[in-house]
Amino acid sequence: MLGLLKMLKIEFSKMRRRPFILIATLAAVILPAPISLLAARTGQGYDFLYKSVINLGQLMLLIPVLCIVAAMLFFEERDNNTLKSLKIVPVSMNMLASSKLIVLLVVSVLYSILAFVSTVVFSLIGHMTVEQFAIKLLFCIAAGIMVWVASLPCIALIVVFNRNYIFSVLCSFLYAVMGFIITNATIRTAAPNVFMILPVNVINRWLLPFFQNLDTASYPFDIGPSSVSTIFCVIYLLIYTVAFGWIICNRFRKWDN
Amino acid sequence: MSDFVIETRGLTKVYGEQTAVNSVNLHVRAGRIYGLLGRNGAGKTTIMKMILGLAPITSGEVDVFGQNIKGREKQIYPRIGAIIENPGFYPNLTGTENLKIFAEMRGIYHHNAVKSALEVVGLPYRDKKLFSKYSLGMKQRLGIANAILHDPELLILDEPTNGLDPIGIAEVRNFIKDLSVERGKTILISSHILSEISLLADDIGIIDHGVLLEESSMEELEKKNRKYILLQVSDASKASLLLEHEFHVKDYAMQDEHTLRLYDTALDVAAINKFLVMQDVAVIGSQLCHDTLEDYFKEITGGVGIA
Amino acid sequence: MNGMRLIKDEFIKLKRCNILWVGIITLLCSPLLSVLQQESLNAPITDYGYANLVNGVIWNNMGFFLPVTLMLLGGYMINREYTDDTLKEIFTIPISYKKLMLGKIGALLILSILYSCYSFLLATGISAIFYPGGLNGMAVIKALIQICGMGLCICISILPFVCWCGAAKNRFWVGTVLVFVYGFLGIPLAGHGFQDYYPISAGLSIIQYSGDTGSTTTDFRPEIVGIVLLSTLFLSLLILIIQNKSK
Repeated sequence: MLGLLKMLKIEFSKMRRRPFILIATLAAVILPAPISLLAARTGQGYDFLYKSVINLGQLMLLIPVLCIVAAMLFFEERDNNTLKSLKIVPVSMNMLASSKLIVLLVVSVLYSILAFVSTVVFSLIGHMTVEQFAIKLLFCIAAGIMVWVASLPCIALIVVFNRNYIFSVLCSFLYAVMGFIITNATIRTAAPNVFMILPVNVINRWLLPFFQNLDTASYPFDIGPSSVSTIFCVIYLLIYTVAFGWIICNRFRKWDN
Repeated sequence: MSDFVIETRGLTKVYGEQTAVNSVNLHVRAGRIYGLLGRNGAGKTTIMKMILGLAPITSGEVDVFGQNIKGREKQIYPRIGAIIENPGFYPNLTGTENLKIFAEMRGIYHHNAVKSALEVVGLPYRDKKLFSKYSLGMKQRLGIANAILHDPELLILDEPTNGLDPIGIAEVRNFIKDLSVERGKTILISSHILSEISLLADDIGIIDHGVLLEESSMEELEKKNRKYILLQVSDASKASLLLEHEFHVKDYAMQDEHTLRLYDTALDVAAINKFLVMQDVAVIGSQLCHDTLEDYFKEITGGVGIA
Repeated sequence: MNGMRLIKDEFIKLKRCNILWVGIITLLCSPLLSVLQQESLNAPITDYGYANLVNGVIWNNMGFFLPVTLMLLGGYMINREYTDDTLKEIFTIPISYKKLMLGKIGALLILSILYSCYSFLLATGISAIFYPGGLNGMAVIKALIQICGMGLCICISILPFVCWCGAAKNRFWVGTVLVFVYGFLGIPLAGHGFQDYYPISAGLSIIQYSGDTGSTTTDFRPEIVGIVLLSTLFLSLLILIIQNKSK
């Protein structure tokens, strides 16, 4: 445990002067701006802004952001020729990979918190009332953790193929967009179904009851058959975490300088 | 307990159809500098990688400190410092920040360790210059600093003077010598530059096309290298016939049409000079010479064009 | 003809580059996802035909695929001069930074049309097999003009990002994320009356997009669209001029 904490600290210290991480967090902050403008124009309240930021900002945008940050974290060892130096310290490759994944989790949660704070700030500017602050923040953080799990299959693809950044960026955007479109197109299909192989689909279904209770337009269909329970969602995401976490660590260990 | 800090037995590495390292038996003695000398592509780096466990071994064995590294990484690696190929660091960090990261990973929390290591290689401490802006020489120095950071007993240095200017090369050479002589460290160093190895190494291994052709101490090698009388004359063919007839010289070699090498150094050079001049063969120069390491290397590898 | 030669050189530099596959793969997803959206809806569009599929392709290209694809392509073409360290050779010809970038922008605009043609061929092919309703000569010509026109407008709208990213090595990764946000924001904004004002969606008005944007208003204001797209071009040029001074 102490070793992992030390590795985490080292991973964060390596992130100095990497502007991309900053830009990613800026994306979290800036995105609510045009949406709050939309909300004001259409007479919608804070809940519309909040729901849109989760749907667009987290369930779609956060995935490619996390995947690109993952590519940077994993590829930096390969590109800077540091793998052999790390191996002879010795640093366990499993520990190194795990620490990078945890860094991504921290980035995801931070992004989610920033996105939420940004919605509150913009809602105040737009004279919108924020209710149930604590529970909404909790759901935002929970969504951030879930989106981290949802990114793991794409990150595994990036680590397994170990190609260049173009491939990684392409993979991550395609994965995010297809997940978004497929989920929206199939959300009415009762659970379980084949499209639930996509984690984003399951996360959306778990969020359905919560979103239904928000002060926004109701879903034009019965969400009962489409939604999934919290237990199902947690078990599903745990399985994905273990399976893809193992693939990532196992594959990273085999990377040769 | 073995006297050897590094010992390899039948060490072999095969890539597909190509044998990069062929049954190498290396012996690095404690407290000495072992120079692994070979041309580019001879297999020096591959051997070092296999010793460190960075490349899988096709066949053979490697013992470091009398043990196999595999399974004992946590005990053995902290006793080794290494530079393999180009040292890798993070370009967005300064030299100091990079070393601090490695120091922390090695469990060295003393800030003096980083400062001392940088001082030894002549790099500034807490400088603002990022690694991405370092010159090749500075990058190499930082690699050396990283290798000595934790005061290891064994140093494995793959072409450590690569990219350094002549003064830098001399500094690194002196520093490596100090580590061995004053601090008793064992050093395995590879190079394709003969002069560097001859100035530095106590023991030498000559490798060519993956085969360890020769392994001996520098003293023994110097003894083996032949002395000869170098004769520069106007007509080497005529001179050789005359010398054979008059002085019964059998052990000689004609280097070119004006140069002869006489390997019997007991011959009377003055008498030879006088005789040849009287036979209308002009003697341009005569001197006692010694085979260099380069000559020896060329002879045993049959190679041309070494650095 | 110097400018044409620079554009031609950019295409030669793209020989054997895998980056070209980016557009081929992403734009393949566009019609496939349109089909998926139609087939998986509980109340699908009745008489779904060629026009519907083309509208779906235009919408998906705008919101998801084309901005990022073009940004990756443009960013790659610029960034390689940094990574391959060829700028010093180019500047000493001499070719100014501004000219070099204009050549790349020209090549990118042509690529946007070529990729749009590819997207058109995919849409027409898929429609011919699965949804042949409404597939005739006039509809095909209209689709070609619409898809290519929209592609060109999207390329113009992302030019400021492309120019901005040209100033430093690896900046285009940041630009790609920003363009992705910029692109998919076009979906809600187009549906709430900002269609003509938002550069990404402004092209919808020019091509007379007939699909459902979610908007209740269908007024096309050409003067607004013209100002928006020209402003985008002007901003790109301004960025180039400022950067040229510093290079």
